[in-house]
This record gives sequence, structure tokens and C-alpha cells, in this order.
Amino acid sequence: MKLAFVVTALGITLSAATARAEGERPSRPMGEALPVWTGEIGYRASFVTDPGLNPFSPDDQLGQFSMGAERAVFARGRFAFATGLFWDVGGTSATARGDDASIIVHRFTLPLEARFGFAPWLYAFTRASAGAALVRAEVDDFTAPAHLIHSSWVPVLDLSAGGAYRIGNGGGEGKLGVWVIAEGGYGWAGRASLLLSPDLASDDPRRTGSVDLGTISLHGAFLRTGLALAF
Amino acid sequence: MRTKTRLAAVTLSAIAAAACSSRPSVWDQPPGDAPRAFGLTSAAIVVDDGAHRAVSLHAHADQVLTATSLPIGHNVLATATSPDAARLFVLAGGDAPRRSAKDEYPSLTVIDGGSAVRFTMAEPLGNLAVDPVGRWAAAFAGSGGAGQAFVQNPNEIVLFDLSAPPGPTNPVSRTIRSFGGVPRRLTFTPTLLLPGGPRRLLVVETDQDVTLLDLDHVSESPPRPEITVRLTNGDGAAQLEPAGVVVDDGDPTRSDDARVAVRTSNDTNVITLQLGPAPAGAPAGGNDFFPTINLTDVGGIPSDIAFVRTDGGLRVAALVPTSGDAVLVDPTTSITEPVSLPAAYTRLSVVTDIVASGASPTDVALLWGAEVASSGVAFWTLGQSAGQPYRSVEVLGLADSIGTVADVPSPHPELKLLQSAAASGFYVLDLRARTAAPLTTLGTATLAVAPDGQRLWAFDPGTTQLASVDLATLHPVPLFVDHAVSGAFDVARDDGGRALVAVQGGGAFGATVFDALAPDSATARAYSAIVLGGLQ
Repeated sequence: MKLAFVVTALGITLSAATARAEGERPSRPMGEALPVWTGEIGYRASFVTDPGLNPFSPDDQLGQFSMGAERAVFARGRFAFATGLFWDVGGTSATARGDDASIIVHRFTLPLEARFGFAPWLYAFTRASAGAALVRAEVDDFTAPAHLIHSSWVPVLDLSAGGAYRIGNGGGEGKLGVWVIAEGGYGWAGRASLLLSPDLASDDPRRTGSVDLGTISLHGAFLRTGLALAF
Repeated sequence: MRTKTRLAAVTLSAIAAAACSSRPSVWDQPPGDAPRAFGLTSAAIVVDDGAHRAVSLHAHADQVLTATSLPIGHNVLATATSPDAARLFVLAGGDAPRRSAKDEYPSLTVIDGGSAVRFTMAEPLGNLAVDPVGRWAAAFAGSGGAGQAFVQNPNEIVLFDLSAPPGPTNPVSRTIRSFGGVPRRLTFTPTLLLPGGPRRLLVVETDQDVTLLDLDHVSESPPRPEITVRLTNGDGAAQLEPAGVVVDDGDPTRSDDARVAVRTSNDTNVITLQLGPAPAGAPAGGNDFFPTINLTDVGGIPSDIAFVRTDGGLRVAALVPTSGDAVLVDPTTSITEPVSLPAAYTRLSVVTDIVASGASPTDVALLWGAEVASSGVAFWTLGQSAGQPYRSVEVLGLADSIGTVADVPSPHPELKLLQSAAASGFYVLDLRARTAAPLTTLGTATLAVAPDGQRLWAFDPGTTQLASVDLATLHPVPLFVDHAVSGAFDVARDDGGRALVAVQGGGAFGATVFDALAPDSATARAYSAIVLGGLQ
């Protein structure tokens, strides 16, 4: 169901772009007319059905602030290829059997992006991103001497497709413009342990044990929308 | 513009669709304030009704605790442990109403070590009785409202044969004949030598009669009928309400002298049922024993009774607080012999096996529960009761009135824990030396005796007060815990050691683990949120 919405959104974007581009003629190859530098901020909504997220989210959603920068490194015809760096940070919290539980995920990825330009103000793209995520889970329990926490790094991989549309009348080829970017795809993440232990000071003499909430893998479909400054 | 609108609509729809999914409901159910925790031989068990499981906490070396989950039925109504602490019984009402095939029937789950066996029932019953020998368990409705269905048969008793696997004939349901009474208490007798052979009986006390059910033939078809004894004192139509039964097999060489004695809460008679041969002409397929009823007035409503062996033979000893006497009833002749007591004791237990140096033909009983504090406890030597009853009672004066008495397992069976009625302290009574060492507490102490008989644990529920007392030296060791203790369970570790698992309420429950053989707060280990684990 979720993927169907993503595919539908992409279809609408592409068809609209094609219609608008038919009346325009690029002055140079379209790929070269697309932005070279892109700085993006946005929101990434992930839909994680892994049971490991249950203590931390009542609805399988993981929302993250997204920030990234890319540079087109190669262009030919209507195509351009870009790479860069993305950082998605955010989490979710819930009440787990009366305890406050939260999880925060820092997702660092290096994207490889292929763009197809319909017009200087519109392009579609596919993106493969690989990287690592820092997963930090936390539970506050009455019987615990401190917050119960666990942090771990896991590998991540995203496969997505989307479109970018320059808004307003400003900008132009080689000039700064504001773009709306939307993409959808599937994100895979390695499995992280949820073996939570009290976050005691290193010199605290108390001996404690851990509570094993199992494991979590933050994989699932995601949508990302954002605004970008590009030139 | 139109395209932008459509794109936004699609995006929002996708997000809304994702929001429709939800997590299992267990995550939205707090486990409650106080854990329902129990101690078994090698594990402490926390019954987590919201997650339909029992969390079994196993201790290891260095105070490491591991948790495993065992499934139990939905909607827990009653729980009990076997007397040997080997098994935990969880009676559940199931899902009501059942709306799908996935919804559960009422059930009894028997947790034995690391496994759980479930017996299914047809209707929810809220009370549970456990056979001290471990062969049987019984569920019955009683007079409580827990788990009651719209229409319920209060006289139905469901019997679980714990020596056989669940099946079409296990459990078996029996409805006892009723004259208007409702079962209140169930007692499993030891094996009795009856005219038809060795038998075990289930004694059912209702609010107005007593029923005997032959457990060894309970699964027969057609079933042998139960025997119901209506209790009246013979003076009128008033119904007598049973308040307790005791059982004695009599002479081990005879099959016609097993007896059941009944005391009531509203009459001065002690009723004895002698289980002799069935009368001639009894219908075929019926019971091969028959009770002969004897009523004996003991001069007041007895607060406790027991079968004892005196120098005059078998007697029923009845404590009558209103007269301050004990009365010895000859169950054969109904002749009574009052024994004046120094105080109006309300409870007694036979301690012959502990205090007698060899095989003794007569009993010694421990008396306690008098309202007068200085009366403490008393030893009643029944070998002198026939000739010199006034010399048969020896009082051990204490500063407090004794409310409860707890046994200590081997190797210290000679010890008894006497808890004061005011719960301001307790005594360690040495039955052989006839001494009682006082131990005072700052609060209301709950005592837990270690199954290995080496120590006891005292804690004040709802506070962080916890202490260990070595039963050999009576040396107390105060222990520190961060949160209030709900239960303390001395369990065997897998490395041969022992651990105390102090279960703590609040939040998602915690537990602090001590080395029971060398208790020290510095080596204890604290665990938190134990009912959050194991739910994936």
C-alpha cells in the first residue's frame, strides 16, 4: 500500500514534467542544464514494521529531519550524475507499558544519484545511498537507577526515486533557484541490539544488569520531501 | 498548480495510510503497581497478565539474572504454587466473549521448571486448590465473582490430573450434589486405607455441608457418586457452616477407621466421619466406603482442631477459646476430656516428629494465637493428657502475641518462625531446646524462609527494608535496595549456589539479586524493566 502511493506520486511527477517540457527547447544538453550544486533540507518519514520499534512508536513511523548536499559530477544528454552526503536525524517516542521510551537515529549516507532532465526546472532521479546509522534507544523506568540506554552503529542502504521541481520564476540555468524535491523508496538497515543498561557514571559502584528488548532493524519504505537551494 | 495539488494529496495519503498501522496492544498496558511474583525451586516467576506470559527469572553466578517467557492463559483469575515449590499454577478465564477461533478458552497452565502445560476448560472458574502431594489440582467457582460467566454452576469442580497430559478426559468436570450450598474450600486427603483399598479423597466444604469425592475413581463412566454429609447439630434445622477439616488414616493395619473431623464456625460440635464399609444393599457402582457420623459438643466453638495420639489413644484435639480449654474428643465413644490451658490459644499444630527423640506413640502439639501477649506459645505433651492433663502444658512466655507460625525446612526442622500478631518482630523458636529468640523489626516484616533451611529473609513490603538472618547463628545482615521490595525469593542457582531475587514493583518491575549464601549489597546486581523484555 505504501509503495503504491510512492509509485503513483512519481508517475504524476513524470507525466506533468513531460507535458510542460514539450513546449520548451533546451539551449544545451538537458543534463548540463540541471543544477550542479544542491543543498537540501527536508523531512524523511520512514515506515518501519519491524517489531523492535514497537516500544518506541505506536504507529510504526519514524520521522527524521533530513539535510544533505550533492554535486553533479557528470552530465550527458538528458542525464546527469551526482553524489554528496546526507544526514537524517530524528526519532520517535512512546509509552511502553507505562515507561517512557524513545529511539533516536542518525543516518549518514553517501548517495549516488542519476538524474533525467525533462526541463531546466524539472528532473527525475533515482538514488542509491549507502552509509551507517547510529541507533540510540532509551527507556525511563521507575526501578532503574538511571536511564536505560543502548547505542549501536548499523549499516544502511537506501534505494529511492523521485523528482525535483524548481518553483517560482527566479533562477535559470546556472543561477540559484529554490527546488521542491520529493522521493520515495526503501531503506534497509542492519539489525541493532536493544540490550539496554542503566546509563551510570563510570565511577558509580552499583552493579546492574541489562534488559533485553530484542533487536531492531529500521528497514522499510520511506518518503522524503524537502526544499533545496541549487545552482 | 493542479499537478502540485495532486502530488501533495498523494503524499499525504501515503503518510495517512502508514499511520493506520499500530503496535500490539501489550505495549499500551502497564503491568500494574505490584508484581504478582512467586518463588519456585530454581526461579522467581513474575506473572505478566497483560502480556499473557509468566516471566521466569533464573539466577546464575555473580548475581546474573536471565529471563525467559512462558505463555499462560488470558485473563488470570488465580495463581498458586505447589507446596514443594516445584510448580506454579495459573488459572485463567480466557477471552470473554469469544469472538473468533483465536480467542482463548479458560485454562489452567502448569509451569514446571522451564516448560508450561495448559489444560483447557469450558467455563471460567475463579478459585484454585492444589493437591499437596502434587497429583491433582482443582478449579471451582466458589462464592467469588472473579471470572464468573452469565450463568454459572457454583457446584461444578474441574479436576486436573497432573500426572497425565491434557486430553478429552483430563480435566474432568464434576458437579457435586447440592442442598443449596456452594463450595468454599477443597482439601485433598493423603492416601487413606479404606474398605475398598487405598484411596485419596477430595473433601469439599460448602457453606452448609461436606462432600467426599473418591479421586481414584473420578474419571470412571458412569462416575461414582460423591457422598454429601449435611451438617446439622440435631437440635434444629439450622445449617452448620464448616470452618475446617482434618483427616487421619487411623490404625495403618485397619481399613475401617479412617476419619474426617469437621469444625464449624457457628456450632460447638465437632463432627467426625468414620469411613467404614458400605452398608449391605448399597447400589452397585457406588462408593465402597460409607461415613458414620458422630457429633461431639466441646462446649464452645472450636478455633482449631487436629487428630492427636495421646496416652489414651487417638483423639480429636479441639481448642475452645471461649472457655480457654482444649478438649480431647474420643472419636469412637465421643467422650470428651477438657484440658485447662493457661491461655486461650486459638491455633495448634502437631510437632511430634520434630521434638520426639525417637518413635513416639504420643504427640506433642504447639499452641499459639492467644490474645494475651505474655501467653506466647505452649507445648502440649499429649502423652500425659489422660492421667495428668494439668501437667501436660508448658508455656514459653513471649513479649508478643503470636499471629502466625511458619515451618523451617531441613536441616533445621526444629525451628519455627513465630511472627507477632502486631508484626513488630518475630521469634525463632527452637522446638527441641524450647527457646524462642526474639528479633525485632522497625516495620511490619514479611518473612521468607529459604528452601534450604539455612536462612530467612525479612522485608517490609512497600519499603526498601530487607535483611537476611542466618538460622544457625541468628545473625542479621541488613541489605540495601534502591526500590521497595514486593517479594523475596531464595532460589537455586545453576552453579550450585543460591540467590535471593528481591522483586520490586513500580514501572516495569525490577529485581535485585543477592548471593544468598554471602549476602552483601556491594555484590548485588539490580535489574530494571524486566517485563519489557522478551516481548518480540
